[in-house]
Amino acid sequence: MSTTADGLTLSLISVPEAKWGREYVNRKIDGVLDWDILDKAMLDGDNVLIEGGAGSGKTICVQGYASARNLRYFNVSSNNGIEPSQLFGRWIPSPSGQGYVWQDGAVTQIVRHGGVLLLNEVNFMPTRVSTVLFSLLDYRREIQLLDNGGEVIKAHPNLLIVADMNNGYRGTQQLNQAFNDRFGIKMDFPYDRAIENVVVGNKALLVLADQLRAQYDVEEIATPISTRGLVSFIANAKRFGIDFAITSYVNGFDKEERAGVRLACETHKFNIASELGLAVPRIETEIFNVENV
Amino acid sequence: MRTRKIKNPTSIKNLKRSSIFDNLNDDFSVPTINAETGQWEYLNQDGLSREDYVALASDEANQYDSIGAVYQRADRIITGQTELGVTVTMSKEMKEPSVTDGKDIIINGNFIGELNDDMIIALNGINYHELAHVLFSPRAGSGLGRWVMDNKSLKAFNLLEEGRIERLLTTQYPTTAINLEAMTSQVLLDTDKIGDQFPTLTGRTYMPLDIRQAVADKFIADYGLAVAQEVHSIVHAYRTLSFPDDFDKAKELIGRMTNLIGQDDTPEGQKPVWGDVHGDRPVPERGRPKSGKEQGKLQDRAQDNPTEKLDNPEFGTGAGTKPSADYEGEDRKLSEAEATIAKKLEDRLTAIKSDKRIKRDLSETRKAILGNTDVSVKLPIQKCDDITPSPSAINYARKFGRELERIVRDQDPRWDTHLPSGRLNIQRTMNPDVNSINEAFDVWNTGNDNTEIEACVLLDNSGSMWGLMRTVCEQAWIIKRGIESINGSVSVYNFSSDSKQVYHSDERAKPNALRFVQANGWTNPYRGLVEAERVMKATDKPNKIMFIVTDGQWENATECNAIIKRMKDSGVIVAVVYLSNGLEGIQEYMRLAKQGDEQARTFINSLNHGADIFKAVSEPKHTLELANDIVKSTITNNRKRVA
Repeated sequence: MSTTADGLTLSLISVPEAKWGREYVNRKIDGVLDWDILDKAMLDGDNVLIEGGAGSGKTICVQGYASARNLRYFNVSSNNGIEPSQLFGRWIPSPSGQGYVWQDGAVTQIVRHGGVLLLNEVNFMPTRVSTVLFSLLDYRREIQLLDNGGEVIKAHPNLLIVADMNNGYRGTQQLNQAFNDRFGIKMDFPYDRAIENVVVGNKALLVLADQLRAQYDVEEIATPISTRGLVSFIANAKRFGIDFAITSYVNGFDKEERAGVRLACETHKFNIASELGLAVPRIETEIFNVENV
Repeated sequence: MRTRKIKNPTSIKNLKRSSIFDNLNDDFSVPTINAETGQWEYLNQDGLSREDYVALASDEANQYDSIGAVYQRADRIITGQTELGVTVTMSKEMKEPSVTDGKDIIINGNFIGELNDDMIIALNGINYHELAHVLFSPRAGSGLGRWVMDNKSLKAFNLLEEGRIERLLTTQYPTTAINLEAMTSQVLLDTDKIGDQFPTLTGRTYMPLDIRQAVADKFIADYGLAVAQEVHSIVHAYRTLSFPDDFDKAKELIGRMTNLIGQDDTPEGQKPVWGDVHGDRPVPERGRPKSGKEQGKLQDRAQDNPTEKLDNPEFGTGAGTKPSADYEGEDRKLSEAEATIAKKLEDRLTAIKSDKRIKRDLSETRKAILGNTDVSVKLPIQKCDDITPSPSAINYARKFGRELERIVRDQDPRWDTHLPSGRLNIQRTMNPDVNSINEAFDVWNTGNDNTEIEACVLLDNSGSMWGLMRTVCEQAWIIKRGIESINGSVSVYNFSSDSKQVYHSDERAKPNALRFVQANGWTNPYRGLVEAERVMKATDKPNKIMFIVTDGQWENATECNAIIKRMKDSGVIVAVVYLSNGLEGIQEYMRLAKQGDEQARTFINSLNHGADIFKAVSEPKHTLELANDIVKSTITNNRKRVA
């Protein structure tokens, strides 16, 4: 629970843990560092739209930025189940038991008091929510709480609004044009080899990822090969062994893709495990002796 | 691996196309009385009726397709070649376990028995071997390929390539070695004279040293030390080459090997028996191997492989440079030596297959293959003309698609609001306009994700359909477009004297072009029904629908009706749409049939084929109305079931 300077309780928004800022590997977009872009956007009151593949680091970029700059952060996860009242506020029974009092939702809190607002998977945001945000995203920079007597809240000067989305993937949809126009800065987040070299750090797995992505590009595979998935692969291999890591990774693919992908993973297994210094299936034959290779 | 002679690339094409169903032409002419029904029926030489044969063949074909699809996907990932194909053929022509032309790998299905661990590891090995050819073998059009053919040195080339390509593959992917070892061990065990395999074995250094030495000893015993040393020298020099950089060295080494085993046209009796163990597989013609630079890097890495160091000539064993201490002289009983080697091989295979982690890998692969739902259609592709759909068809397709999208959207998770119980909506209770307690609550509806559809459309394009084909093709296109708009799959087959594939379930119909099929021939939907049944068996989509559009009675009606019954029993909704110029006649027959007229009933049954839904229409547009109703009710009925 955090408290504002004016003593209000901001139970729904807080500064992310410091590790998110520390561990994030920055990327350069046309020669400009991603967080430098976010700094400038906040200063100028610009909204930022990040487009990129699943697990390419969109969310962690924003969360890490809030952590590094010591800003409050709230992530709106778009799904059909969210209701405006959850984000903007609602009337709740008064603690005194007499009548009702208004309680700000997380978005309202962050608009009032500043911070980083991330609209996650914005192309999935239900219209009943996105339309309320229109006035916040354009030159007006305000929201109106019709349920709270039409209160108008002007955005805090230190408010940064970022939206992220996958585009062109199975199950995604185009972003409404009116919404799209409200983001002055658009950043593309492709899978970045320089970043993957750092966060994955396993050349053999990255070779496999390249091979899988080549098949994804020609629509032979429908499952995107995310950086996040590769990081999980390595984490699982270190924690539970290479076999578990492969099984877990393969289970992330469509059912009909799994058998072929498993065989491809098995083909790379020795190389991936060797780089990690892990044991691989070994019969008494020299070629499977990792120590000798 | 020993491979058969393929005279031209057409052979690979034929092998690719051949299907287990080709044997449908087998003679079903043995008359037998069915003990249960007391009816006469005709069986083939294996005692199977045509119907039983199709049911059996359908299961096998699904499994072979599944195996091919799994290896194809893996190989495409590994090679990056999106057109690489892997097919399991049941062709009786094929005698060898596998072949490749550089772009298609053909695995002999006749070698595939029960899909157990032994079989999976053998399949893995076979696939990796062919993959090594695809990745590293020079092509027929290369300088070396042409030289080999001109100098009639195909046998020598093939013999030498084995060690080189597998050295490169096991260096790039060491995991492949254990599968190749299991495959090679099995090949050796199936060989009459193991010692004759020395030329191909000595370069396979992933094989255990004692086995290689035992085979070398046997070869020395049979053919002498000098020959063994020359073979060893050639093989081990050749396997370190990178192409195309080392083409000249390769020519020299192939020339030396040809001197030993003779040219391809050297008559039998004038060349050593051991030189003919490999066969005369043609140089791959298609695709491209890895570049010289990539091969060179792998060869540099291969030098550090510990198994390579074991072949140091000074060490003196492992490759036949001199006999091992076990060698007991030329009077040794050869049969005992063969048995000794076989025992070593069997022990080694047992050790590999009993390793817990390898067993687990094999089990996972087996499960994945058995659970795989990729099915490639074996029907020949129908040659079609792309034509532009009429404006009304485009409109109808859009409308149909939108309606289906809406229905599916209605199945999405959502809040059902204004209900008498559930989660209290406080804001609504505060709204003075809402007074009823019956409207104060909302309930989260988890929706229904079982809206996916697998559909097959069978179009009659027999001669009598002339004049109707444009409309019928347009209807199939509308159905496909509509169902695809909700991510469903639709295969379209046509049938006349035989069946062909118009659309594969994986391909999407173009928005501005449809495939037009000409009408001609008789009316035999049998093969199309067999393929439709296979597709429906393989799919895991919950809603399965088959539409058959036809204008007459069928040949093989009894067998076709049996397939329709099996499909219905397995949950497929089958609709037969009967096209007729006028409906008066059929309506009269239907009226009489309802009144119990046996002749009329027989006639109607000859048209409806036991389908769930039978509709006679005079105007093709009525087909669409029916399809529309069936698809929508299928999705919504499913929702009710789930709810």
